[in-house]
Amino acid sequence: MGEPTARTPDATDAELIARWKRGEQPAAAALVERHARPLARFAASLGERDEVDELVQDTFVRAFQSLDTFRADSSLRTWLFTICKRLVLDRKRTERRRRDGVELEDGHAMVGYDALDGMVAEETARRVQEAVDRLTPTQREVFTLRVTEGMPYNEIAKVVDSTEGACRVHYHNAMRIIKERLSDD
Amino acid sequence: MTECLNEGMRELLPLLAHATLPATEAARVRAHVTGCAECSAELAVLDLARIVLQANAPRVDVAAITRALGAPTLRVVDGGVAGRSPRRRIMWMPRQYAAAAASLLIVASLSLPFLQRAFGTRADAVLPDTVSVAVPDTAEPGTAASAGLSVTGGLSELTDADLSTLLADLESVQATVASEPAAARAPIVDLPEDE
Repeated sequence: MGEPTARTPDATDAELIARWKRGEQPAAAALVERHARPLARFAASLGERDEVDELVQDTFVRAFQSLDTFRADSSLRTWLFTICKRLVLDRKRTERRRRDGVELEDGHAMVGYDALDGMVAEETARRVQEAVDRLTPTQREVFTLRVTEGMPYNEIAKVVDSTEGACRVHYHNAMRIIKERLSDD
Repeated sequence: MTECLNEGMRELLPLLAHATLPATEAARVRAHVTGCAECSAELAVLDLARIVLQANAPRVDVAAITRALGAPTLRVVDGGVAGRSPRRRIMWMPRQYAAAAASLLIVASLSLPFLQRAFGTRADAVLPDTVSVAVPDTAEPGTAASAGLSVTGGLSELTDADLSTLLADLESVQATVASEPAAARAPIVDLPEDE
């Protein structure tokens, strides 16, 4: 069958799904290659830092189990993000029950990032990351989906279970807060 | 940091940074950014944020994820996402039916020696006429035999297929006694004839 991604760079998600259903395993590899990293970024924006690899895998496994129910009225990526978010919320609920009481909604700060320590422009990057981390979870989700994935508001609204208008407000609030924090420091 | 009053343009800045705008629209937004200090500054923040968020994203093992998906012909019945690969469950027979069948066989096996002890080797004489499970006189304790029901050895030795067959056979067994067997009307205790 050859190198999967080399044969499928221009195929749409729908075409790859159809190929996978016909038994072409490389089509699945191409879909994973295409969407795994954006999913990892999105998971990070939800506050997940540990076991992101497993979370992304679980998202794909869950999605491929129910590909027959995928109606394609939104993009596959939006659908994957929605599944990922549900898994994250399930995990947080479980963790909250176990730890009995840590609030997980707004104000839940992300763990610190240290991947860029020691790099050039470290200070600026750190300030940007901190500014993003201090957004509310919804602001952070919307901002990440808009900025790193370039998603339209109607797709973002499906992922965060909100309206386009609300997402637009979240984005602009996030942008304003980030700019303020960068200019304050 | 002030904001540009052209909200339409500001809306498009993230898409310009992400290079998802059509070429003509991208050129139009770029032309605006060139002459707008606020949008230029905002675009710089967006570029930086995108780079930082992408650089700090956790790494994922694409090959491992692809392996976990398995072949498309494998139908995953249960939502097994725990662990590194999906759990697959073969559904061939409800467990409760298998347990019920095993329980019936255990009761039958355990009661057979008592019946034989109480009535000699004529255990078949006390079995209801309409029960299709017939135990021959030569059957050893713990062994039942009939046309479709055969148990040899312990229940633990039964395979899933055996249990399935036994279940099918048991479903054909009448649970109620249609008529009192003649032998059952005989005295339970044998009295000496000379008394």
